[in-house]
Amino acid sequence: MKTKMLEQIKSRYFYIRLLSFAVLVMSFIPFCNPITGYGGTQNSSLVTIIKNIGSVINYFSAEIPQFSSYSNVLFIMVILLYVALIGILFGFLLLFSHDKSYRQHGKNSILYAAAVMTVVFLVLCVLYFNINLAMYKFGSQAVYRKLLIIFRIPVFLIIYTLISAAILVLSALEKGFNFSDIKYRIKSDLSHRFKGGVHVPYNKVTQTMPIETLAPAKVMIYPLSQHIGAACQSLVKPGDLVKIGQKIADTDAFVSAPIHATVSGKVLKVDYAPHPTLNSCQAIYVENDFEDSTHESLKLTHTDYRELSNEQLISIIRQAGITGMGGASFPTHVKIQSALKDNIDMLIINASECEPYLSNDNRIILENKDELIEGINILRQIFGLKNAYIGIESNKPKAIKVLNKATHKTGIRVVVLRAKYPQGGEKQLIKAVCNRKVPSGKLPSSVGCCIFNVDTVCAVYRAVVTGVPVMRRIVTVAGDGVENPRNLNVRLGTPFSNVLEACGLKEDTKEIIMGGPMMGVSQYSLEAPVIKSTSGLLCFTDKETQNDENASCIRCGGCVSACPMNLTPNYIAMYTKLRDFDSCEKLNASDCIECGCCSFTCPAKIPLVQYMRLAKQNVIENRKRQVNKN
Amino acid sequence: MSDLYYVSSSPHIKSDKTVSSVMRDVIIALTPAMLGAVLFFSFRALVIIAVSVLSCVLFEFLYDVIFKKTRTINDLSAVVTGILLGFNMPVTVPIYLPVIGAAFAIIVVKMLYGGLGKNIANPALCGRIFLFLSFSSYMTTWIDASTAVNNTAFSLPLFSNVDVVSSATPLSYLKNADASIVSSVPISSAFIGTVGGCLGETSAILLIIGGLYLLYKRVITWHIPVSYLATVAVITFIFPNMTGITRLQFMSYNLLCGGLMLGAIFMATDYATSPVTPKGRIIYGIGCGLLTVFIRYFGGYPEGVSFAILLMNFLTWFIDKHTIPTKFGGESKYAKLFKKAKE
Ligand code: SF4
Ligand code: SF4
Repeated sequence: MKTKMLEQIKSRYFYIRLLSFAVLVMSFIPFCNPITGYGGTQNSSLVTIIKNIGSVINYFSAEIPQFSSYSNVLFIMVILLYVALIGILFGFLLLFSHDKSYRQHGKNSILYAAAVMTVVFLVLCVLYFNINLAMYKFGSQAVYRKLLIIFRIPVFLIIYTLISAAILVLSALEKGFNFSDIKYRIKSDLSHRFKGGVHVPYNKVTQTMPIETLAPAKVMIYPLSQHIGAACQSLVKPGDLVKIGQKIADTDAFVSAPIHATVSGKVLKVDYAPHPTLNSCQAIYVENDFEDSTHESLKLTHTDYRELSNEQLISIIRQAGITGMGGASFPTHVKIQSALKDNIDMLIINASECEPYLSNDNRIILENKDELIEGINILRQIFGLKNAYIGIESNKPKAIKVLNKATHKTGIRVVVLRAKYPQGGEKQLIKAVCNRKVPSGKLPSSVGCCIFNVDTVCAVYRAVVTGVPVMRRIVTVAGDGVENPRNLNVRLGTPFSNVLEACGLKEDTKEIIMGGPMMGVSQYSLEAPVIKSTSGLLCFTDKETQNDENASCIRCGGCVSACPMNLTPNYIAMYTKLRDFDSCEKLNASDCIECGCCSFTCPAKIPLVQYMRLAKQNVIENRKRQVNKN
Repeated sequence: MSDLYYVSSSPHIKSDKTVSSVMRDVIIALTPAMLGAVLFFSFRALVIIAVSVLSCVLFEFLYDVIFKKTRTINDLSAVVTGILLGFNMPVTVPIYLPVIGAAFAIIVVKMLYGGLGKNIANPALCGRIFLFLSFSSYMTTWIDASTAVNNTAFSLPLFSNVDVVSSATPLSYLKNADASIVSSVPISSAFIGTVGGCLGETSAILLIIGGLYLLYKRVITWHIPVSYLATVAVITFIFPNMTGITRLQFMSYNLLCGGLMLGAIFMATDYATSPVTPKGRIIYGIGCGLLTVFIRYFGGYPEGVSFAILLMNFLTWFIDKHTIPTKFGGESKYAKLFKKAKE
């Protein structure tokens, strides 16, 4: 089956090449030229026309004086034809390139050029037809029978039209024309935008792969710090027996969330362990007994969440240990409480998933849409809102379709956004969804918005409706360094080595990243476990890791126009090098969201984000020092 | 196992853009105009450009070797400088002139300041001005491109000196305020490039094609060329200083003749010497446009582009400093002022 498909594609490819070659060759033969092919006496080839654009018009008005008004249209058509021919020529050349992405560009180019060409030729057909009609009415000798009018359109024009239509169809088939994709793209172009940002190569190969469940490991590791805020204290001692869902660590601090066991077994030790983001940290080691016995606390005490008060719901969410699953991992119950104080009026669900490679949110939408919608209902109940908005990037037409269907008449609106990084950043998402600007240094709730990640919403649903705390995480494993990229349903605490084993880690892997490639963290050890904010594990080989060549800044301004926060990274980096942090503060270094757009675009490959971090730290420290002085 | 892996700061992927790819794009964009130069001015044009490019690369290499710097010729910026310098010479210049220009441009203007990105003025432009001031008779001897093609073209000696009758560029006609001669040059030939002038600057259409390519590749942004050309167009349309031809004609000659297109598309957009902020770029373009027109109207030289860009080059850092964009969610300067005024 697969080989057959390949063959088909190959043959289409072949025809595209052949046909575009034919178009190119034909336009240089005087007789076949569709523009001047009309009269048959003064045919000139494309070369002549290129030499003198005006000659076409002269020719046309000389040949048929009374129709010179057509020459304006003709002039536009000639120019369009050139553009299309150049497009076809470049596309044709690119088709022979060795680089796949260039071939893709070539196909795109041919597709668009063929579309332009078809339109041009159709217009020309109409033009010639009209001329003939008029001549007939004028009683010219040239046209003697009504029937013949249609045949007086130059034969080669018709052939051209057919050929370019064929190229159009073929390359559309070849490219896998996706009409809903186009529709969403147009739609998203009409929505609000944020300034800056970059177009990253998406590489979402795992987008079509269903979520699979991964078996737990022999020894599970639970770091005591999995979120922003105070770290937890262990509630168990070495030698204790724990069961699934048992709370094993907690603290009294306000900004925190408890941690639960995800396997049943014996606590081995509480010791330092590698941590994905914090180098190392205290962690509870649990030896799995593979009995999967569940703890008695995993029971629901209520029947219908609609009867619960906000306090009860929030305490359920806290007890379930839910934190933001997007990356920052801010405890959800704290977010809800502070948002309730601020009277929010926009509930936004972040499904944009702008990081390349990752596809876990997309799969969650496709597979668990009901959980998502119910979760949104719970949140709506908490905030007392009728509406909610789901922001999603236009490069996921399937998920958009599913959501559109599922949210029909529920008061939830799906907002299609442009595929641009960092569309999923809080401030950028708010700007794009409801055109509000979060003032610098303020939280989204200050403009009445509250954002939750898709997976967070599902976790809320599971906690409230089924009583299960956060124990699993959907993790995308991708990159050149793995044999089988997939989406896995992993129990928290599983070491990375186990996850990667299941996907087949290749020998030549150079770099392992937790999270997306733009904001993720490189791992120095595979002993680190999956924590609540692990959205992906990417393994890069030589080809994808790029060592910085680090030339000096050429002042191209790429970083300035890419920065979504409107900063000037090049100057901030310069002042950071000079250790002049007062100037950095003046340039608003502390507003950087570390999105990585600037480093991504920089042609000199300067690690701008690193400089930004340094500047940010120092600016914030300086500020603190000054506050202390006063 | 742990020391096996490479740990770096995010982002872990980078765009394919590198300094040399950017420069390569600029070279590609300059190619049509280069071909045009060969077509209009014979093969001697190619020789001049080649000499200029080779000497630029050589001087940069020598500088690096003598002062024990890292080799920087791989970034191709010297090639771009060389091509631009070659573009700024008439076809009749003696063959040693590009070498002198390249020495000045690369060593004095570029490398002594610290190399690519640290120079305060555009090297090719300074090279041109240096030659223009020191060898002005050579630098202002034009032959008409159309006559070159038709008669003398391929008989121009490749390496030895050339004696030709000079003809003026349409721009110098404009300076002399002689409407009848000006209109003897059809606009279309100024557009296509069969007029007298420097190698690379005569053909507006080929330069525009190159500019469009750069825009498409996102090597340059629209701000500088558009604001520059628009300023020149508006002023010359509203205040033409010549009688006998229509405003529109006067504007078109001003836009199409002389080094304006080359300057606006390739010289003013030089990275190191133009502002990085969008607002700053527009101000810079407008400044270039104003100065160009003023020099053309009131200055002693027929051509104002190179001096205008040079003057604006020196203002780059100043402009940048005062046009730092308002941060996302921040208050703009004017909003703050407004607030203060209210209080
Ligand atoms: S990392 Fe910071 S400076 Fe760089 S683009 Fe993002 S917000 Fe701007
Ligand atoms: S993108 Fe890089 S080279 Fe360009 S201005 Fe910014 S720091 Fe300089």
